[in-house]
Amino acid sequence: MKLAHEKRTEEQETIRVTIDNSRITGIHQNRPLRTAYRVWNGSSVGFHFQNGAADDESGFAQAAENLYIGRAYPFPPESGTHSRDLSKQQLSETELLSIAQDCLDYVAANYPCYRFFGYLEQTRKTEHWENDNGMDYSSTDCVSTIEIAFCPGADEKAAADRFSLHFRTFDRTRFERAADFFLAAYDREIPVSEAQEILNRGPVLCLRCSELLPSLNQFLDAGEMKRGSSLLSQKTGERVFSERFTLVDDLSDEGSWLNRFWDGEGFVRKHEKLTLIDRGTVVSAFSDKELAEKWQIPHTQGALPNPRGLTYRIGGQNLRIIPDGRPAKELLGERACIIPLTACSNTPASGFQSDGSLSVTLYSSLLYHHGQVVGRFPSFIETSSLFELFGKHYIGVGADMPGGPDSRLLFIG
Amino acid sequence: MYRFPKALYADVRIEDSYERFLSLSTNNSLRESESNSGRQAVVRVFDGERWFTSAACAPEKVQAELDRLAALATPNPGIEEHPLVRKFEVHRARLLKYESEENIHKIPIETLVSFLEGYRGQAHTYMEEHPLMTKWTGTLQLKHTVHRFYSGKGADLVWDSQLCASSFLCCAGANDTIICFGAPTLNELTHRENEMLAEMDRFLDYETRAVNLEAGEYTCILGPKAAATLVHECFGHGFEADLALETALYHNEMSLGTKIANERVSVCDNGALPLFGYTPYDDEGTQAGERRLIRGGVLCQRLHDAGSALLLGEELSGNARAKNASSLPLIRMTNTSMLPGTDDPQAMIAEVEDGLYIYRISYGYAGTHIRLYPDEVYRIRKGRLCEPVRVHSLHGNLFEILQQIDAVGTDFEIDNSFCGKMGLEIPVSNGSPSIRIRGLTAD
Repeated sequence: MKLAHEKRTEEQETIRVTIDNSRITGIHQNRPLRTAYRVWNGSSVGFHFQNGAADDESGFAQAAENLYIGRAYPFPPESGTHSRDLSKQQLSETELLSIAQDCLDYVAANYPCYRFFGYLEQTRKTEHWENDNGMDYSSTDCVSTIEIAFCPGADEKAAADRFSLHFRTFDRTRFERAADFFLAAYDREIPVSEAQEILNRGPVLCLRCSELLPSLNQFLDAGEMKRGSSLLSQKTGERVFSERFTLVDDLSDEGSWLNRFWDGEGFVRKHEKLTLIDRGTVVSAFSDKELAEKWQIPHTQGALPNPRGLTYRIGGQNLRIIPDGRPAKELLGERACIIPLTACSNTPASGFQSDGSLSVTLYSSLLYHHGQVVGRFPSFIETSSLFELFGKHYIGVGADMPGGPDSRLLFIG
Repeated sequence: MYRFPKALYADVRIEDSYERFLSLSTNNSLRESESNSGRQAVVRVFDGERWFTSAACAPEKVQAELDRLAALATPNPGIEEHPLVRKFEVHRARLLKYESEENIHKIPIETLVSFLEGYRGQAHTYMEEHPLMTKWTGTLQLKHTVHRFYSGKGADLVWDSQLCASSFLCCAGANDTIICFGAPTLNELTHRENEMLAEMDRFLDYETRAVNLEAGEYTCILGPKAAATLVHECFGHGFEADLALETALYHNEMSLGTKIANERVSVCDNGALPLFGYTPYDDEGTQAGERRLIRGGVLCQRLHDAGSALLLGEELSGNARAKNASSLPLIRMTNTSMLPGTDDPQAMIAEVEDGLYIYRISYGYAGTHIRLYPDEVYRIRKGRLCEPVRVHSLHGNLFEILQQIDAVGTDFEIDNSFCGKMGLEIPVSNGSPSIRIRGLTAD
């Protein structure tokens, strides 16, 4: 059989302005160009990955050499034309330097007792996949991130806390609001005795969705569910979580930074949003072509892209909890809320473990009450489990977020 | 040669790499062969105040990038006298060790598949005889890199490195272990099937017989494999100067000249050795050599890049290492070893009334408190190795542990592996003999 050829290109430009000890110390540009070559002979696939400038003839030849091992893949390449460009603003090096200096000036002027570290970084990425079966996909995005770490000026032993914001169009007001949120009351330490009282009363705890949700993929792998090795095995159609909890994989979400809209096999979902848990009921799971064929289940774009190789994990690229429409103030009511500055899972793989347990050390948090930050909360450990956290302890994701929309905080209590 | 900008410091690093991965499983559910290659450069310009860098650029665009970055910088006529610039070493050398038939480019794919099939055949037979072993996957990773470094001060270096690593994932029910062998050439990895089978036997025996251990404080003997992980976590990472700078430990507990460990303890890092951490010149052009981190328990030296060496007023050590030409150098260990002592390993066990023998540690974390997650642990009773026991983790205060090392064996072993600091994996080697620690907490 004649070989089918597929070329996957990823072109990226990252410019980072670094801040060290309250001054700008450098500007770093990184422009990786990555090309993956795949050849398919009807039953097997061969693969070669090239960093930097690529020569197609040599790339496909090396991929063809790798057919020797016989890596089985019976599915023909995808086809079709799809394109998406989410970029809104592309800043020059000079503009980035100027914005970084402005942000630094703001925090240094308003919070002079701190030393600041961190960076402002802009990443523009274009992915392009094409093959001789008519596939022509491209996806472009340009996202900037500012991360400010801060520590009390005189104390060299103090560990830095940090906040960060992502944006497609820089918004200075948003930056200032976030800086004020995190810094204004940071120097007021909540005494341990007061903190213990708050903990005894059962405060609302916020967890960052971005840190927690990726670990849900392991429970939503359709293969593991069919094999009986997922905690959600045999649960499809059953309501096992709070009816306020709806989980989707949403590639159209504006917080889906630098993602593409196809999966690792080049498959494009008919709808960008896949509902996995609908008001507490498990309704679908992630599968790739092989799992869908093997178990005769719907194919749900579950191959997580791996640009550097053939092996991929199963899961969603952009898991989201649907906010229930109420603002944070309404969700919290009169209760105090603990918002983590730094969170660290107690286990090497962050998030939920395969048995559904979760243990998080909140080294540094802010106490938030009646719409404002009261002070810095001492370190404590929170433990929970999958079914408790999204079940009886689940409150919701607010329509607005203390600290800005990037926080995407999940409230449990 | 490049036209380096005047009144600025600049350097150029170019990497030309070729990498190959193969994987096979006994049931053929996994058969993979992938190759990666790349030729990229990093250009850096320094004006005395700020660094301007461009990574992952095409080597043919280096001159243009040098000119562009120089235009962003502010010329500084006194740059040569800047203390950081004065720190950078200037060497000229050509060290190409792997141009022979042992270069991985020259090994045909048939040979590589046959290499892995040999191990797979042995594993398959073993699994037929031992049905409790449910899964085996073998992986072969080969990488050859040519490194070039040039600087405006006159550095002109070309050197190459090569690594070959085979790893075997073995599963018994829900538990698994990874057996790894590493060497600079493939020849050094052949005919080690019996070692793999012995490790599989040990793992299976451990999984079938291990009992839970009562938590508490135990005298622990770390065999060479386990101690090598301790060396990596405690001495490798512990002596990377960025940690000292982050925690300000260098002011007190870890200031040079402090006796921080038992006098039996001597540790060195040496990037010149032809092991996985081979880095004869680091990514700032500093020449490697033996760096004695601890001599007779006394802290002598730390691992540095030029910036940290300048900040702490210490000597360069040749430990500025980047993962590749897409990333900037960080302070990274190379080949780190605790030097062999004079104690007989068997006698070390015989002297323990009630303790633990740690065969292997899968990973650990070290700061001022160290936590290690062991894979295979055996109880020592009345000076003899007894039943295997399950231990979640071993931990203790770093400085107390270093003082509590009371025996260092003669059975030195090297473990070629990888370090994933800040998600940037690079090859390193860790070496150690058996060591005995009085008082590690097991839970």
